Amino acid sequence: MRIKYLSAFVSFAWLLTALLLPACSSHIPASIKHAPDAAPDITQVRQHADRYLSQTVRWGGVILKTENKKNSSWLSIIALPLNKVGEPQITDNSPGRFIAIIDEFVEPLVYKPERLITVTGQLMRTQALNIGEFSYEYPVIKVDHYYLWPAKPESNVADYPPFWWHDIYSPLYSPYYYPYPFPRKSNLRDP
Amino acid sequence: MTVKFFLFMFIGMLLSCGTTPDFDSSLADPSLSPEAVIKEPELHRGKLALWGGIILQTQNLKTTTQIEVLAYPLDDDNEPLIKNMPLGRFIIDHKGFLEPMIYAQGRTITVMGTISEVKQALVGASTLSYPVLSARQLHLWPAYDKRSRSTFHFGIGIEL
Repeated sequence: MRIKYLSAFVSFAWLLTALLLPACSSHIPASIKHAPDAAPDITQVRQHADRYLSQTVRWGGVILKTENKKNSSWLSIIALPLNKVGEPQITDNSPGRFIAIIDEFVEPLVYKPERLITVTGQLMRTQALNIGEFSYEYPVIKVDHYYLWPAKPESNVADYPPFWWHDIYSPLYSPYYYPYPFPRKSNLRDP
Repeated sequence: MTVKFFLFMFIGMLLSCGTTPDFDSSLADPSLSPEAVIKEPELHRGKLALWGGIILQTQNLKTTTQIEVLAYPLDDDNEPLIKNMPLGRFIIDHKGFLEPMIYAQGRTITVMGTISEVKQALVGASTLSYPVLSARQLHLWPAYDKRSRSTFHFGIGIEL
């Protein structure tokens, strides 16, 4: 008898999960979620930009700087690998930097350094700008669609030990202060 | 039987998950420290060193990237032991561009390279000697938590 209820509950839980999962990612615009066919990656473009001019790409990464021009906004971005739905994945394997030109004003206090963004658009040209003394060829994208990924909550809280570490009733408690020895999981994902 | 086999596989997978770079440390002289090189630069020029530590600064030059590192002793996996006493500073000279936001201040790095020269530079008001390593192999260690992850640390003078 009990098992029957349990299995009913399990299938209900599955149903709920199945309903919730698509709901979670539904706010991502379709233009960002789907990669264009046969789009070049940054490494290819930086090597042979002329081959890929005016091709549509979907690139994303971490915002480095946002500049508001008269009629547009220039974002320089450190590209990162994207997952299936186009969300940048935080790793050390950056394919390079690029510039995204958006045809409108974006709020620089929102589109600020460290935020993750994904854009689709056409490769216009490359532009050499110095990083230190190195002349870096930035691919320049004229943006059609852009999506700023929700900011992860600040992980300050996560750096504190779990509640039981300083709980006097916990079996692991000691009256002497010990810093929590294990690194806590932060909100940033590592490779 | 099968359980044991899978357990074995699982442990094997766990062990292989850690990123351990394969430096051929047999070629490098473990007794060679930055301090030893500063004392007798001519004697050690051209020798192969395997050093590591914390990145202090990354500078992009026209064709190379120079990374200033505070050296620490290395463990068996050649990962710097940053809780030990530092062994002095050195400079990694890498041919080509490295992203300064990734090779950023605070990250841990291990390098194998040849000693090319000893450079003088100012730290505050005192002149410091830096051994320079021409990099052959670099390994940037993963940043485990947000505090040590300064991949996107925007305090440095990067301009666009």
